[in-house]
Amino acid sequence: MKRKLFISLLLVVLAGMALISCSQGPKEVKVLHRYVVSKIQPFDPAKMTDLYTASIYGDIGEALFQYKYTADTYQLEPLIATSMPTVSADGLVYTIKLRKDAYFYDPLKEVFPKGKGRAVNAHDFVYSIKRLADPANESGGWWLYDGYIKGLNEWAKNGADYSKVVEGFKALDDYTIQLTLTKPYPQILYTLAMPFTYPVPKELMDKYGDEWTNNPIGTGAYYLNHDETIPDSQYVLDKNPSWHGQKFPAAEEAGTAVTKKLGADVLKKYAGKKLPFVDKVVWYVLEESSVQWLKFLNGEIDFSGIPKDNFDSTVVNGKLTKEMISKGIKLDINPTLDVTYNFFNMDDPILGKNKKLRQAMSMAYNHEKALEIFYNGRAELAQTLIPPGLGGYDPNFKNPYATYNLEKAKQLLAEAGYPGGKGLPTFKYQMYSSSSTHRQMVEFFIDNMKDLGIKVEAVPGDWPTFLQRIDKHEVQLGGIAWGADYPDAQNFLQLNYGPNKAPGPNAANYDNPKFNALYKKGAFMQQSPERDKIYAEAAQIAAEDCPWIMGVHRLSYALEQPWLLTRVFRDIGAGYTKYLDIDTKMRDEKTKK
Amino acid sequence: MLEKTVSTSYREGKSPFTLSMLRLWRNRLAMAALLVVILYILLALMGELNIFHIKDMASNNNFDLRYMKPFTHIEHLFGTDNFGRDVLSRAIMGTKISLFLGFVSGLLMIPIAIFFGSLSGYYSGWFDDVAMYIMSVIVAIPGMLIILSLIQVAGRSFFIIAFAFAVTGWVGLARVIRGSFMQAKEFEYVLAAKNLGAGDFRIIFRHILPNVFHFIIVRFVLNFVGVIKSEVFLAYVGLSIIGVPTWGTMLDDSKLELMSGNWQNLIAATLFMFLFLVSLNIFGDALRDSLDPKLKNVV
Amino acid sequence: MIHYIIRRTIYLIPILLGAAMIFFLIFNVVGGQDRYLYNMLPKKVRTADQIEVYRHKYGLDKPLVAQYLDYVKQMVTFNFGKSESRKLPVTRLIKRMVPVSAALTFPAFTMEIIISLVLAALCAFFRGRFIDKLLTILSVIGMSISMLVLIMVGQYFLSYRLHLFPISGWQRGIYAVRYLMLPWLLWVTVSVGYDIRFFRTALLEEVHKDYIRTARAKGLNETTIMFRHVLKNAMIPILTYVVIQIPFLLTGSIMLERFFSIPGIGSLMVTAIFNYDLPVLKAIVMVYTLFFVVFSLLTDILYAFVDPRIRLS
Repeated sequence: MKRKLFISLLLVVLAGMALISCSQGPKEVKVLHRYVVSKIQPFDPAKMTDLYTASIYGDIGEALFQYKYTADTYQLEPLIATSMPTVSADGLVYTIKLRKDAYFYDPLKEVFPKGKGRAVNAHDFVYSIKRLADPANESGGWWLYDGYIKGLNEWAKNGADYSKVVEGFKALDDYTIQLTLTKPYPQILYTLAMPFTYPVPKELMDKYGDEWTNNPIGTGAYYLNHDETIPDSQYVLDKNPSWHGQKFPAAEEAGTAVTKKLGADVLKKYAGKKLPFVDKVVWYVLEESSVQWLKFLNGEIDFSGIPKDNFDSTVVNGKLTKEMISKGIKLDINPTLDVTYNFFNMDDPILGKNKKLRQAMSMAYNHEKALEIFYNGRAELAQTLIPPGLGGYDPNFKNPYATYNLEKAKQLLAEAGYPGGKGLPTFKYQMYSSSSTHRQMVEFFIDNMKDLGIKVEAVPGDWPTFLQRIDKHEVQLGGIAWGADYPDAQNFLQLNYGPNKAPGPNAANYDNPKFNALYKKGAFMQQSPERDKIYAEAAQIAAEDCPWIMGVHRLSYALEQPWLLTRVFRDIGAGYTKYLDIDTKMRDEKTKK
Repeated sequence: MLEKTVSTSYREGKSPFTLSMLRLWRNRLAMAALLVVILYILLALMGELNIFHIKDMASNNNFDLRYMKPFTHIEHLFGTDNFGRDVLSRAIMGTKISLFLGFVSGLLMIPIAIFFGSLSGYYSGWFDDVAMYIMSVIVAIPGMLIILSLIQVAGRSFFIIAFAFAVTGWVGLARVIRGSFMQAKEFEYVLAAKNLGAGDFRIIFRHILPNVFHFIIVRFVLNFVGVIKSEVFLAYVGLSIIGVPTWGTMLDDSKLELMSGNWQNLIAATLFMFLFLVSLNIFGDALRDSLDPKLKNVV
Repeated sequence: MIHYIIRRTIYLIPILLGAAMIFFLIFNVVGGQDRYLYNMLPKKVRTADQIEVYRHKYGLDKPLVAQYLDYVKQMVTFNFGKSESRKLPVTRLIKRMVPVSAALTFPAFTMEIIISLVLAALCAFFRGRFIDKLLTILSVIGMSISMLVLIMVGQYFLSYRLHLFPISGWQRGIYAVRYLMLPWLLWVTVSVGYDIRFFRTALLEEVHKDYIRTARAKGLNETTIMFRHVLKNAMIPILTYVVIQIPFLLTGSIMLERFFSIPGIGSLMVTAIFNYDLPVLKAIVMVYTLFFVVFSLLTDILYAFVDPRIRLS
């Protein structure tokens, strides 16, 4: 009896396995395999703060604008908008026209049962921007609009009534949006390309109530395949049959770096081709980095970003292993829009009051060695807080304190009144993570200061502790990084703006009237060489004052399988999957064992 | 041989403890295991005292010698890691942490267990109720959840981690002690002691406690096994001690290094840990068998 | 008997209150209110106003006693709200994840128990002989291997190099078996060692009892003794050992779930601790404690069932 049971069980298992192996249909479906490294949050654009959720959702929904795929810098182009907006002379009123063929596609046919779905209109955008402002939604994207849109703050304060019109963001007709600002804020266009502003249909929420975030409906090139998606394990996107369509950019539009990466012939071959190229995108949830690697090396994943913490051990000295080379794997290295730094607390009675002391410590920090150890020499030493690639970055400026010079540092320390570190207390360096890289960086910092004669002690802690102590202005020394939200140096300069002191983003509590005045003047000017000059000047003032010990602008490392054809690295923006193509024949050959 | 013929007339009776130790002494495998454990303690001491520059080699970065493969160089037998530190020395320094964690958590745990176990077993009544309640609550929550939460909240320092192990570890021992006390207080020798006017304190510590001593010592030895395995888990979730090499952090580091063919951390930490755990398990088992009067005659 | 069950069920309440108290102490008192608060604030930009709004919203401006009562209220009503880290209702998360974890742990646990019972019986039957010694050594080795090492090495060699198993993944229904094979194998490998040792001792203790000696003297053959008497009577400690582990199976296996991308509850537990996701922790503690108490009650009843000498009172 028991034996029979066992045998039948075995048969069931075997049959199951046979089924699995036969499940590939005869018609060739181009499938792209990607992964995310953490569990996915609900698909609610107002809460799209998580990078990984945004990268999946990015292909389902669409914003008004998007970044050009093949340009070297980050330039906007219309997506749901028909053209770039018309801006009034004072820079306060934006008028945006929408295309009429962007449909909310509902794969389940429950919200929009008919055909292509409903066309997205101006009211959807108004509704979505209100959702960002509504305090009940606790939106992680609200800070981008807080105080900038006429009437929106008041609307939120007075009960967030969706039937009331917000003066600064309204629909002129079904396909025209008018945006009125309280003060010039040219960066707002960038925010209109972020997943925060993806429109959601109100019908979706009416239909599903609280559960609506499980059923994302968007106008994007892909839709969520509910049959094959298994929450927390894999998310499967299929080609959206009612997508409005787009073509691969013309070869002439490509920047030099992109041309170098993809090759002129590939660009020419793809120019004008109808997007998207792959029929199905599978996103695996792989929390364990070693598993990401095994799957990648096994050809089960088409490209992989190397976690910033870990590229060291997998790509030693920036080189691929023999095994990877033999498999034809390519390494793609790109600069990212970010900056790492150690900051001083400018409210500290000793550190904050003594510029020479800070400069001495900055020079005693071995920037060059840190670059070598922690980034394999494959990053750019930061001179100011503005990363290259943004307006305001001055390639000719060399920060005299962002380079290692122990003799000079000792001299400065003596000038500061503490020769050899005498008379200084032990400073406390607040940690926030237990990752080995963070630990090593802190130890490195402490060692460097020891050479100068300054004692620094590491204080362990986690991220919330770190933030909390920053807000209380208790952190003497700390080391963090900032990644760009949008390609404008204002996003970085605000980190040193006096009124942004903690709990704002200015963790160093740096407050220099001269810097503040420049920021106020330049930050909200339309993009122009004049504005870039103001940015550069402000950044250099901050560099001289040394509220930070500059770190680096990091590089992104990504590995690509040889069959991945059209990938270009994009640091910001979402929804790039539609441009990707793979050579399935090559994949089959290479992965055949 | 010679002696035996001489000393015949009278022989001093041996205490059960001595007999147990004799039984243990005769168990060669257990003695070999004990020897290994002692060797580990010596190694840890050597590391701490920086003999042969072990401590320096384990902590000093040397970026010219990154990722040396194991068994290729005499001076770095197990190779070097990401930061050019000697992996063998790090494994030795890891021994120290493991030993110390096991030791301190054991020391913290045993008094708590004795206190609650003996008093609640001996007195019954309200104290027993309270103690039993506390124990039931702690047992009814997954231990790892308490440990992880405590470390996450209170910080990753050595003593917090040892304390977290103690907080969850004492219950099992306290229950055993309580059970033994409940039995023992009905025994004649306790009644006799009572009638002779011995105070409760004296009865508990002088008369009954020695009888449960074997549980304590076995628990103490096996506690090391639990702590070492849990430390690996802590390191895996990122909650192990900061700033010192431990076997757990070495294993966790090796997770990614395998992809680039660097097995040194994995090999060294696994070897060190495995040999130590095997020895502890063998010795702990033998100790239990020899101390447990019930198993006296079991093969 | 019924009286006993009722009394034990009532005793559940103070235990749950105590469990709530422990977590309240750890997170809200030792950890401090603000840390919890800071974890929930939007990531990039904070303002002082916002902090106060959140403080009020999450009831962190109330006195500690009131906060504890909130805690208890949530646990009793099973209304834990939304998970802070996953932004989904906790009950839905648990409903979705526990079955997945159970699909991993229950079959593995069953295999583990069956295999180790058989092997332990072999040991007891051939005690002192070669096979006993071999199995004892193997079980000590099994007890001394770290799960982390086993997973890494197993996944690397068996899956990646030899292609015997898929590296990781998950499917609905029976298809999941393909992905569960290796996790099951690893689970059994690390856990049979303890079981064999425990079962062997339980069996041997029985073997050395007087009635077995009598049975042997009576001339019963070893097989009959083993199965009719020893196994039957050793069932009590073995059953206790097995039943009391069942609630723990519901919490899954954190390492296995993460390495094999199994969408179970174990990995949620760890993220919850890191993110101060109290709703999730409260729910897990509540569910686990409930199961634990129920199963220990079950053990007691089983006891009385197997051994008529034991009276429940």
